[in-house]
Amino acid sequence: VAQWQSHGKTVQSPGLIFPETSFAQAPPWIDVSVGHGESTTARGLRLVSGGTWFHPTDASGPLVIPPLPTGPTTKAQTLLVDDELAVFHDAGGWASNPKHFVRAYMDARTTATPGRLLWAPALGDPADYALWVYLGVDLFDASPLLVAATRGIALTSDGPLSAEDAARLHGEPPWDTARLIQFNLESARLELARIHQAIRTGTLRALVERRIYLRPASVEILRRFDREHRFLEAATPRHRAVALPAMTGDSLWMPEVEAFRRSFRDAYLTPRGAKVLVLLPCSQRKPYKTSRSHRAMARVLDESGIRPLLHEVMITSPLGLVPRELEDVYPANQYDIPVTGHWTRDEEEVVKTQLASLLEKGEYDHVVVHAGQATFDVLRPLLPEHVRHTCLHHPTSRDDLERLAAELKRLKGELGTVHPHHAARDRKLEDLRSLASYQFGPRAAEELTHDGRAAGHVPYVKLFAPDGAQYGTTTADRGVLSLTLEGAAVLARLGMKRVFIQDFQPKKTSSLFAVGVDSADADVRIGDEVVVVHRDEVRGCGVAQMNAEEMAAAKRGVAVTLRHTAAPKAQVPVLEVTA
Amino acid sequence: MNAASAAGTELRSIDTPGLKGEGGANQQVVDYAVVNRELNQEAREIRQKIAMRWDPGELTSYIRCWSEEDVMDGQPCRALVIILKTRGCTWALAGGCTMCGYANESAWAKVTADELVTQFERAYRKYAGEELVKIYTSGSFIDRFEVMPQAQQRILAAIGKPAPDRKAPVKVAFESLPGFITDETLAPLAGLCERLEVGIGVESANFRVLRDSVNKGHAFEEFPRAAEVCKRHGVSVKAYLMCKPPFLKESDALVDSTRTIIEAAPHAYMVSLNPTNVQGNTVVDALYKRGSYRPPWLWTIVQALLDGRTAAEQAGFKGMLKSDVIAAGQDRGAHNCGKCDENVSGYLKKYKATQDKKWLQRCLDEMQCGCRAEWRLTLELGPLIPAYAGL
Repeated sequence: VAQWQSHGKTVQSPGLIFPETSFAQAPPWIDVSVGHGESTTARGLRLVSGGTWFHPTDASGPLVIPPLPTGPTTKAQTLLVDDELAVFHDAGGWASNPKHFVRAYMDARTTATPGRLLWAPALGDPADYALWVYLGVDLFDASPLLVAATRGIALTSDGPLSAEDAARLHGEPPWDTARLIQFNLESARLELARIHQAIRTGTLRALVERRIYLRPASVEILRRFDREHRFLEAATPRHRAVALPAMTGDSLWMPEVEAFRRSFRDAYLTPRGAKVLVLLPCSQRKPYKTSRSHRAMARVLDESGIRPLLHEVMITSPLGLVPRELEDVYPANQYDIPVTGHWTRDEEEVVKTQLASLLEKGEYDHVVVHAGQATFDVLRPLLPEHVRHTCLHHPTSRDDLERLAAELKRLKGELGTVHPHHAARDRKLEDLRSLASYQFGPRAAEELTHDGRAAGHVPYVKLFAPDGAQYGTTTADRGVLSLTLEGAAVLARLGMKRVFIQDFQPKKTSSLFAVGVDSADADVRIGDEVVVVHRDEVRGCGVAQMNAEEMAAAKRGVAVTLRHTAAPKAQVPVLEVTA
Repeated sequence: MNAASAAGTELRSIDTPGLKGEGGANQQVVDYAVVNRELNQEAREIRQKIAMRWDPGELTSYIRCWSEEDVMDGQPCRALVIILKTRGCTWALAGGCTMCGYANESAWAKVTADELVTQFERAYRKYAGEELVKIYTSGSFIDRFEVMPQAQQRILAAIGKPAPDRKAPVKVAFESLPGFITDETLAPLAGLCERLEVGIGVESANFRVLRDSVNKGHAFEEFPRAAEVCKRHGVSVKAYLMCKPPFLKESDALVDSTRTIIEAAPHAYMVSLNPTNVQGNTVVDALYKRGSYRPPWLWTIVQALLDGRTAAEQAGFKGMLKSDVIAAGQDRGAHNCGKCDENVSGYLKKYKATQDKKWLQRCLDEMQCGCRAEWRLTLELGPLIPAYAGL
């Protein structure tokens, strides 16, 4: 949750700016207001309006909103008020045309930079605040609330009500404008508080999807932004420990979901030596291996004696395909969908695209599908002629499990002798290589695992370099590789995931604050493993808490939580930089 | 087949010698200090979409002609309105005013004097003894590049000296940019008709509104100068003012219109306050489609007329002040909430006919529609909220 600190006062994002009119007094919870000239009554921060270009008013003070000149209608204008506040001029107007809004808004948000809160004037009411906040708006103003009240409209997070209906619902006598203003403001306060809560718990997207279905324009805007992957993705964490509900058709295009699918297609390497592709159904419970159905299937796979030669890949929506090595990774370990057994066209396309990519890179001799008939029918055109389908009724039915066991037994005969111990050991390293390729790309995966060694049991598998140094380990809570300084040095050498700091040595077990960061590699996202460097010297490693742009722009807040720090050298100052 | 149709489907744009100072000694039409280059560029780009640029149709056909109610010398009268298809307004051809959609009704091709006279003759067959005849082009009737001087004279002569069995109208009205109003252009028209009237688009008395909102191309001072010329030639002057051109808040529009009425009144026998309406292929239209333009409230019109009239009368104004609201009550025209629009328009009509400002006062006193609160709130929010949407 971003903040704006100015003149000893703090404004939380998202917040509401209250225009001083003769129509209403600001309620006590308001912490920013906008008015003319000096004010003796304003409690929180106060913006002073400079009027309009036609009628500029005499405004002085640190927080003046200067009047904007006129310009072509196609040009979005963004006003930088101070280091921490920007205004997207006429946001309310732009938003009424979703197509034009997308470009204008991205332009405004980019111009504002992550370091500034963005005010979207005349935009938003309790029914769509969540959407705008999700897109990165920080501040709204009460003008739409007041205008609605004068029109006899009560605003709720479930959409507008007539004054009569609202009064009846509340069992009160007919509402006048004053009552409506009071109600609309309270409605706004409540919804903004809900959004705060959703941000804290990492569930904002779910709130947005609940709200947008009130208005076609809101749905349109979310869909258009979901297609602008880079924009939303930059603000979307790569990892979090919260369930990700994927309840609607639009969930298919959530930025974290699309990012997972893209990495699977573009970066992910399949484990070498896995000769048999086994496509399995997903399960309600995540990670899959903890579910009853997957435990039942796992028994059969284990008993086959060739499990290290199998590549287990789960068929699912909205992620398409999730290989076993990635099942502990966000969002594969957290998504939650309604299961009907019916595939929509879009879901079919997604899973087919993923499967085509997998088949292209995997070196499989055999394919076994242990998933229902409907799923098999969708995938069949992409699969080789000799594919085996072992699930005729239900994946965990006795008949079907036996059919799967029989098929694996047959394959074992074809594959010849397998040394179970060696195969399992090799496979453990291969799985880490696959995981690393998903996480850092194929080149880093190769560097990290070449001639290396893996030891331990899922979910705690350690990765060692050829010289015996530990590069990292997987953990139950993050699923991905957590690196040691030596592992992080590999990334630094490859010029990836670097966070550049000035010449100081971060103190052990502390946080690296944004103020100490000069810049970061552009693809650094919240939740990424990063290596903290000064020039090319590794000074520490940890998990990014901001994306690259924010680290460069922000003056407050934690940029990286450090896991390891380099041993201090004599000439380098040891600093604990705090905000 | 004429030259224009021979050009096929090619996009038309034509030379504007008047703009380039080739129009002769006194024809300084555009003052570049009153041009907003960015807005002019956008206006010019938007006008690429004008249909007539691909097909201007028959150049001997006029655009429209109809008979309507009007007022002359305080008395109701009939008026015949003729709109000729000319090559277009010199200023609009170069980009031009942000709210003006008349360029949609221009040929964007050279229209000869003969063709213009033919258009007029065809239209004038509808003349049925109206006291007033309005000859409008989508530009300036006395711009010699738009309506050649001999066409001007032939048309006015035909109106002023009709066949013996027909009666000539009392007055003939046309419109022009003030830059074309000079001794040289008015002198040849003397005596052709009983009375002449020229309508001038004054829009605003505010320099920045003219430059950065309207992109008018000339300053307010051109208007009193032109009015002075008209006075010398016995031509009466009608001033058109624009209420709420783009990028003005409602609160700005109210102030601007009131001030402009007061400034323009001494120079005109009739002042007409025109609320901006959203016409196709204009900057205003682009702004409107983007959700950032709301035409003025009828309340603003009533209030500006009342305040402007009161002040102008104190300064000795004895002429007419009116407002013809085009597309009243519609989203693209001046409107209130939809419930009171018809009634408020009724008061405006009564005021226009009687020229008694008590009707404006009565409108404000008697019409207690709930939307007045929203209008007042809009006036307060405008200067506080950096947005145009609905403000």
